[in-house]
Amino acid sequence: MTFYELTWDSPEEKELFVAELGDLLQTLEDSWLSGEPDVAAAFRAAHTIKGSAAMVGLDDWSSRAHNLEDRLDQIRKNPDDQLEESLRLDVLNFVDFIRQELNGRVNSEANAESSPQHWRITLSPACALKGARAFQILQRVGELARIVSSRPSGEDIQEFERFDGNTVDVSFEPIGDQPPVDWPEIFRSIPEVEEWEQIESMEEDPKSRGTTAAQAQQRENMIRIHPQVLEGLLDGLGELLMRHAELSHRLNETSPAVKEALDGVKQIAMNLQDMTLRARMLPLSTLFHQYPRAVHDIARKLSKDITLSVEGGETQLDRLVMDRLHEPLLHLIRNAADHGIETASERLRKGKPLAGHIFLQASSRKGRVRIVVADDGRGIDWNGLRNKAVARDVMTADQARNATSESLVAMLFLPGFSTKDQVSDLSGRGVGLDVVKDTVDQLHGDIRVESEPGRGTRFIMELPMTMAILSALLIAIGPVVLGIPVLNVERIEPWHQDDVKHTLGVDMIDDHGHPLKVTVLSQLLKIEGSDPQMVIRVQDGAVKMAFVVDTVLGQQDVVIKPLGRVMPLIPWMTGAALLGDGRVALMMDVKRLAEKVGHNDSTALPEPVAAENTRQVPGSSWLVFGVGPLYYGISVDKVQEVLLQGPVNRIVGQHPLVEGVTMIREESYPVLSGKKLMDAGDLDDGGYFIVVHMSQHRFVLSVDIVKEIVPIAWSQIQPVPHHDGLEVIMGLAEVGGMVIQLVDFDAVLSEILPNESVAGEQKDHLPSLRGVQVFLADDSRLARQKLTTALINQGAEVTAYEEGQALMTGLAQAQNLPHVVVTDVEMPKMDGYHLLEQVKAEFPGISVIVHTSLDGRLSKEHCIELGADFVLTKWDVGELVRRVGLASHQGMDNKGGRTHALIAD
Amino acid sequence: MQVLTFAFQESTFALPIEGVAEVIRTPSLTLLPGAPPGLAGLINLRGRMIPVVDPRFYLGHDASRPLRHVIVVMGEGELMGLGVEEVEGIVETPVPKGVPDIVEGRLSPLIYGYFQWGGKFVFTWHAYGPFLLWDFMDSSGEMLS
Repeated sequence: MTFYELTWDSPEEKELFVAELGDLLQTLEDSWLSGEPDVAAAFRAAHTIKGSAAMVGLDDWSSRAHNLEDRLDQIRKNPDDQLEESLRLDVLNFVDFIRQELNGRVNSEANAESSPQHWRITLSPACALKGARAFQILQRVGELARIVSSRPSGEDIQEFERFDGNTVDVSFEPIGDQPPVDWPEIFRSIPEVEEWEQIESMEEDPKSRGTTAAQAQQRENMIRIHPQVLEGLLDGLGELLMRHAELSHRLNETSPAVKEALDGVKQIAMNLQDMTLRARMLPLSTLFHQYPRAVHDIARKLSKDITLSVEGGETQLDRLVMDRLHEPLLHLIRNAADHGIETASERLRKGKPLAGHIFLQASSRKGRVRIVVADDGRGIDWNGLRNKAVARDVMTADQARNATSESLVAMLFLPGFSTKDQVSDLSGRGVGLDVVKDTVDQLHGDIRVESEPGRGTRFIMELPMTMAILSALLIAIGPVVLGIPVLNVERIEPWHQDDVKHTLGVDMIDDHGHPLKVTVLSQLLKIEGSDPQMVIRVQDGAVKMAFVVDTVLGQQDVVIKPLGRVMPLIPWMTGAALLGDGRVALMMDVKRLAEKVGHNDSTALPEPVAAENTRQVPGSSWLVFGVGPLYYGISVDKVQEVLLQGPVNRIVGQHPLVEGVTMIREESYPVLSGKKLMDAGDLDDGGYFIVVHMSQHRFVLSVDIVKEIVPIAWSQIQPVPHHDGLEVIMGLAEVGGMVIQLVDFDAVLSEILPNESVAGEQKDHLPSLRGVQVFLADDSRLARQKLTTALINQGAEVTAYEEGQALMTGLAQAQNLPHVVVTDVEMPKMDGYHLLEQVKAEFPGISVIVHTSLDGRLSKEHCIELGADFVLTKWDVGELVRRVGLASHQGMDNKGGRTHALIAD
Repeated sequence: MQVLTFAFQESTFALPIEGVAEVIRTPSLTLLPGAPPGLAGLINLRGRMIPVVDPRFYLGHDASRPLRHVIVVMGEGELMGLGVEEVEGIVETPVPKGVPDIVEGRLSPLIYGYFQWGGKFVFTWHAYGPFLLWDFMDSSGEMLS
């Protein structure tokens, strides 16, 4: 392949390649033209040219550079050898050769005489997004031919946004020896294209010549900037913002006009900061394009047949982050090729396609970039891993037998832990998985593994889009401001010294029935003048703990600066950030700080529920209580506290299930009778109150005894055939030989307890849902019925399912995919979180609305993190209908509008 | 040789002027909890975060008086602040090279030479002297942990 025939992921990539090459050639030439040749510099330049030429697929250039590199290396290592005149000539010939090839491109572009075809495509006048269609047309043509020129030009994405013409003109040349293309057929396949004709030439329109000249000029004006210059800009802007804060503080009392002007300055500075940060972003394709070649080489070395597919190369990432990702990604790819993908004969035996497949995919969401390296190989060998763990003394035989897949996966990332016994030529060197993990950690990212035996392995990396900016929770302890990455924050709540249990010399609080180590940061870090008021539960991978702090200042995106020599002295610190008010926040590394104090390591706890599956065991914790002879469970998330039974005041005229009202710390709570609710006879013995907080209701459930908290996996929960009357039991689970009935009040409560906030849905404000298809998952028949009726009343078509798995099956079989999926969280078999995750993974175009009565920010944030389009935290049918209306518009836009989304970007 | 002289209550020192970037009145310091003694905190110098070292701990001086000035010194591409009680001035004087015996062995790598000025002995640091303080902190940090 010659330079002229290369296809590029983006014009930027091409610019970058050409610019870099230009510099290298200059270095090579200079190194040889001076009196005393700089062999080392020439060697480095040749080496780099070899690499980048290979990356883009210019094998000829690469091998020439390689040749040169070898000869220069000889000289470099034996400085006493005489420099041969022939080498000097070869260097210069090489420079000339590459320059000619590059110029060849320029010339051939300039005299595009070869035999371009000119076409004029006319769009339907009714076409709403002309820019998007034009983009689509040019993209399609670009796939099959080399575009010489076009109108709109296609160089600048914004041009499409402005484009409002009815015709798209394009001149193109066939690529190499491609078979002839049936162009009319191609154009016909693009929606809203009305007609097309081949025209003599585009030159009849002087505008197009203008565009080409403008393009050339634009190319001239590209400059490259040293990253340090950008750093300097950022520093300056940070200082400017700080001075601004100081100034506004001093001018606080002056006129509104001054304040307005100051605000204007701040806005400008912030915009500049934003732009500067964006200047460091590059599309991931600049990194990804070197892997096809790497995979090719690895496959040949292993005598395997492996293909690589790459997706999402347009995803933007900070250059600094990207620079550090190359080695880890290469390692994961090598790993997949070497350990993951089976030999051809093994694949044949298993009935798999002969060629193994590696999948590299990038996507971004909310400031985070997700990179997946997946293979369709043999998957992780769990038993092998167990044996290895025992052999390495990481676990006892007993522990290994009971270890969850999660804790086994964690071991993969330990230093020196390899599952394959023979260290192979490929993966045995360079970085190990522990280094991959370290790098990802340092980038404030996260890596996890999913694997299915016989089906393959997926490594999933999530990284912040830029290392420089981090969303942090700012907290104060005495005079010190600390920042915790928001990602690590699980929960924030008021601190009560009484909640602490002191055991084994350690302070602990209750965490869903498990002990959680709690540390007062002011004591640990010896900060004076602290007044502890809040406790923050944090989690970083397997590490989980609680920190006590004074106050929470809020969440803020901060620019983190490394601190050189200070960092090794204070290992828990990752850098410092300048806040708008001039204060400095010290950024905290949760894991390191945890190492300092010792912590709960959830991977070390053998969980009672083991599953032969690397996915986190989907489940939740349940408080088990007894009413009469039977045991029941209620989700711990809903339980506020458990008290000994207190006095109950009967009040006339309440629902028969309500026993009365009780006072807890001077607040009144309705008391629901567990006996009546569960339909258990009137046995009277000692009693407890379970105080339940849900988003809309607070009440007390009176029960006979409270037993324990147990974790139950969703997959363990069996649905019950619904009986008539109130639906309270959502499912059954067997724990330790005992059947527990799991209680879910969601749908029932609105009947029993008066509902303060929803006075009654005003039907005329509800949107029409005509033509909207909704799939609904809810384990409560009552809730299903209510939601279905409300949605159908607005004209929607609704299909209802009892739990997530059934809905997924429904989706897989559906003729027409729904626009919106509505789901409950707590359901048997597959809960709402996992349903949400799967729908978003397999059908990203479908909007998902989650409704839950679980109190608290966390479940909501978790849903949003998983990609929920809306989370409704109270039972409000009217709001749900409105949200379905909004989401359905979104869903419809998504379907037709991938190109639209691209342009809007 | 041109040197900048600075003082603590108990002694006067000097730094070769070529290593000094600027001298500032100590701004508000961001304390670094958990830092080894001698690491006084961070200052914000025009948007750059610069660590400030209090050398008194290593010099065996009383550290209770305020550090009124910070001498910002340049190393190989990095900046650090040396906290001092007083900055006296710039002196042009010959400085004979040599470390007298009375300087503790531990501190001798800091010192380039000395001269007499205003009736006092002024020990002159190497330009890179302030950066050697980091090594002290590394080893004292180990001792503490």
